[in-house]
Amino acid sequence: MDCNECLKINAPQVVHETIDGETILLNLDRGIYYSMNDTGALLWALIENNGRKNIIIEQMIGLFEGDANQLATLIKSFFDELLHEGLVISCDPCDETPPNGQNQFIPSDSSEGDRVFEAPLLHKYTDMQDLLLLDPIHDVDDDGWPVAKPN
Amino acid sequence: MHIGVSKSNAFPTKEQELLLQAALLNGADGKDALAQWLDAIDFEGEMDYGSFRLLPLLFHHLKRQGRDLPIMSRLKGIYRYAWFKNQQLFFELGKTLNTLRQAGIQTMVLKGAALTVQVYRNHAIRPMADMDILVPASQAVEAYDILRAVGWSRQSGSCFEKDLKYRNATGFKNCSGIEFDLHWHPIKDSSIIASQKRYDELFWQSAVPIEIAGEPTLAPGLPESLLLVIAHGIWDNAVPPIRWVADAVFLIRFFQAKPNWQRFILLVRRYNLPLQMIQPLYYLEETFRAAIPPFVFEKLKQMPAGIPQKVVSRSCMGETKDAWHKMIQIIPGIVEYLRVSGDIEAAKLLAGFPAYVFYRMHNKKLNDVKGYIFSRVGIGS
Repeated sequence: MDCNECLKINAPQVVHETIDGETILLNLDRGIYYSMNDTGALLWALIENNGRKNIIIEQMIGLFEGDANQLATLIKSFFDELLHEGLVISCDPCDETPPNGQNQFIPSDSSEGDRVFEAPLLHKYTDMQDLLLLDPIHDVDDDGWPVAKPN
Repeated sequence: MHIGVSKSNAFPTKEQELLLQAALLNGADGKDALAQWLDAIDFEGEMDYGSFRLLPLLFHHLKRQGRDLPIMSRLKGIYRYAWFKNQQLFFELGKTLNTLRQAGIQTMVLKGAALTVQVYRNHAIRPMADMDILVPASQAVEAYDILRAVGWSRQSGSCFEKDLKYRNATGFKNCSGIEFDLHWHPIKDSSIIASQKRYDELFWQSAVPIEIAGEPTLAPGLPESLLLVIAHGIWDNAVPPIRWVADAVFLIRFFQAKPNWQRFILLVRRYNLPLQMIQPLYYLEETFRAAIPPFVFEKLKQMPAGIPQKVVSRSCMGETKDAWHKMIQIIPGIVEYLRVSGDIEAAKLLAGFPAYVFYRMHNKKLNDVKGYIFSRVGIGS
């Protein structure tokens, strides 16, 4: 993987929203729904703001405590998964201008270097026809739709 | 699903009103309403679908207020569910809007889709079962042919030519189960089709450009949307149509930034709908503190309203319950026909009204039509 490479969200096929700290995504072409844990949501926000992989990895290493190489490996693996799922696409960093002239986006609730790194996770829901038949009040577990109540 | 469908009229029940207040009002008013609503309902039990459709808005409002409740994670799930379904709907209908645009047909999205983009600015908080797309009446037949050619089929078996004459819209569905209504006039009230033929241009003149899933289209101006939301919402419906209250409250809040009440009054006058507007606007002001200037009520009250208008208004709001009102329910049928067709000559009325009744009865047999007429005048079952 070329770490100077740039990633950008595969819009308009992919739509996303962050609700109460959780990022949810939908690949409209494939009808697949995804959700991310907090670390995934943070990485997604960084991709949206400035998709340069090396800058994102540097920022993450600055934000979290732990082994830098291990963090970088986990983050690169997450980028690969996003690419594989078609949620992001590669782009030429020379073609991408950081939004608002920024190149150092730091989420507002982040304190440098004092957080324990949790591996980014992408939850994928492919059986949407079944999930849409769930009663979102009564057939779901405590996390709410689309997590079905255990049988 | 335990979500029931109940018969109701246009105005919320006490419980529905508490839910609306909890989802719309800030501070102690919203907090009190939420506490009362939670006491009054059984969240694990059955909920009417009209209330269910408000839960994403409730979640959004509570999060903005920094509130937390034991049911929050399930409300969040309902929010996700609504977001997913609306995004799918927008994506599919973006393709349809593109097909129509490529064929040179102008489009305008109405009601939920327009409000989602213009007013709510959020794809989750206003769940929609379908989308409403308006085309110019002069292009409706062309649009119909194109939609059928690309795989959409009519939901009703009625004759499209008759629909064009007597109604404002028809429903389509595709093989994926996605639905939308093709409108050639914006307002549901079929009794004002004749007015709509004259004044639809008002909607097109003030339309604003928006995008649906990246596809350019138009949305009505805010006064036009307010008129539509109330005119559509006050009709009695199998699903409690109470979300008109939330739509109207959000629209009026936008009005505060850029008020255009004079335009709203002009539209009400042109479409002859003062009686359909006054009661809902009073309700919004009294129950939801909607900022409606006093002159709006004054102007609406000054608009002339004859007996036929009063009868039609009471009929659409489901207020014709007793025997006397049953007796005069035949009048709305005649008034409706006159207003739809514009036929005021006696000869045309005699020739056209029976055909109109047949159409309204979905071309049923003569005995059914007789039954319809007798039931309208309160004779027989």
